[in-house]
Amino acid sequence: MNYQLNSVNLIYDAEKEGGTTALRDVTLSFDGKGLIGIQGPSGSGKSSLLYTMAGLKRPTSGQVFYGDMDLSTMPVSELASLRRRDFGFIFQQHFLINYMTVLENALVPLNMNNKTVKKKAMDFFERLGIAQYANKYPFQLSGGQRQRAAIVRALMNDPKVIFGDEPTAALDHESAREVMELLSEYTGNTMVVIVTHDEGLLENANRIIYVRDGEIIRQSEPGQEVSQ
Amino acid sequence: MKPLNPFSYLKSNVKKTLPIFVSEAVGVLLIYIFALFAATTNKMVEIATFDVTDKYNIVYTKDGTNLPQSFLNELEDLQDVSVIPVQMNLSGLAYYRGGMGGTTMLTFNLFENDTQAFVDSFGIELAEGAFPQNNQFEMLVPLEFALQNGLVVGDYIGNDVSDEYSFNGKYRICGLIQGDVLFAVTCQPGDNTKEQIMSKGAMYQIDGLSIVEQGQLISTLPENAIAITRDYYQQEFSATLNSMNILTYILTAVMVVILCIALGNLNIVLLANRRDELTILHAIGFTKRKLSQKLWMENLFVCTGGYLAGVLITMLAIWLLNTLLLIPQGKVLEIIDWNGLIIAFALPAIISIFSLLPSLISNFHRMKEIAY
Repeated sequence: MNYQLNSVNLIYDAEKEGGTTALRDVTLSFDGKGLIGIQGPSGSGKSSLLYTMAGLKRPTSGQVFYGDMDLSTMPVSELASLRRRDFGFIFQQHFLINYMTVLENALVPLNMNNKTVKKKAMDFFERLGIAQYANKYPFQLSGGQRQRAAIVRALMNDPKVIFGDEPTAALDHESAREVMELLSEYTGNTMVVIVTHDEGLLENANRIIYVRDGEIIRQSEPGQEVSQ
Repeated sequence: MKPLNPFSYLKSNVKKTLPIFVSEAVGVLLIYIFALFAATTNKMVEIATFDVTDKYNIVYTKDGTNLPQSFLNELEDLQDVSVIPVQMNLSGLAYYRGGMGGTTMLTFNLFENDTQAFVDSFGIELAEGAFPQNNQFEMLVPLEFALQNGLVVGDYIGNDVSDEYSFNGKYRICGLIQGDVLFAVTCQPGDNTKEQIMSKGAMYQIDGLSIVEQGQLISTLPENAIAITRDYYQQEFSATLNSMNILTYILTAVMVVILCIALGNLNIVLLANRRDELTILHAIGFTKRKLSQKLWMENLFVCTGGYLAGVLITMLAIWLLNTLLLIPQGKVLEIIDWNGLIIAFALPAIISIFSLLPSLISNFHRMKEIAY
């Protein structure tokens, strides 16, 4: 499904004097598939861009269209339903739920517990090398293993868009590469939007967006570089 | 079990939910114990007064004059209604203790040949001894009364024996009766014939009489006549019984307020520790409404569990108290009181909602500020 951001501004504490501008007049469009990288220095607004696209933050002005749905005006409950149905999230912190096993955590987006979904989760776990930890609790796993479990959770609902905010930050380089390979497999029909500092992970990206001070300063696509 | 099933949280967080569970159980225990004492008091009043008047209406003159002949004629005309001559000159002097106090029992002064039929009409059995004989200063008392006062068949009661008794003279306990209604019977007609006694006092079975017929009979009585009916006791005891019920409601309300405040604060802390969980669930796509439902169900299950534990512990404690201490003394506390159970259920029902509200408002508001 197409994505379109029209003149999006995001100002934190806009109602207060001296609010912080996170995004300035961002206009972008996506065709709903491929690996999209977002890069920029710390505090540049790249995570804000990701969360605004995901409907987790509402723009102060401008519009965010997902297909023909305007996320900037959509009611909160509909936004939540949309996220559950169409989006998958991998956050910088794993945010696994400590009182659930790794397997249960993976099943959370579907809130189901039958053989089919369990097998699906186990296949992902196999793929990411954490199958033996399926019945362990998150606090019994290393940071990397937890992050891989969080990635499985993001993939369980067959999302149309996967949002990753530094998803490989807790992983060693080799594991990070495996995760990116797994995510790349989805880019045929799915849009994978990744915020990362590690440009090496975006070597297969279809598009890289560079953000600084809330503005898109540059975009690169295979074979071309577009300045804004 | 689905991952977001409330039990999924509860089974892994027993220690965290234990304070709520225990507080609820203790609250219910206090309320239910009080309710059982109130129910026992109610029951005691029922079996010593109302249950008698459900079977018989008793009419007598308080100054010893004769009842109106018209009333006696009407009684005589009643078909299939058993009428028993009775003197109520000893009534209200035997004291039975139970629940939160005690009540005086009715003592019927009958003719010996009416006693068996009268006792049988209540389904009461003679547990020990024999029925009283005319003019022998004998008395038939309930087994519970005997146990409470450490009496056995052959012992004497009355103020000639001890100041503890209000009976004038000295009566030998000839038998002990056991059943669902409490009263004492003696047979001291003196030289009076049945007709003479009947002219001053009578009790008649009301099973075959409609409420209107009962009312019509009594309406003909002069002012010096006393009619002991259900209405009579209703007026006498309603204020006392109502005040006990009101006390139960007040105690419940106080407990609800205290627990709502205490557990409300506890829930704020518990939910603050779960803010990451709520945040991620919301980000994944679970609405705040769905999350609120999940949290409320968890709280409801804990509170209901506390309620059930409180009720069961109370019942067990009362059963032990009855078995080991009270029943041997002729007393017994009610173990089940549906009214008390319903009132006590106000705790989990109200607290599960209102102890959660502040934490929901606080945490959902702060979720907006969280950076993922």
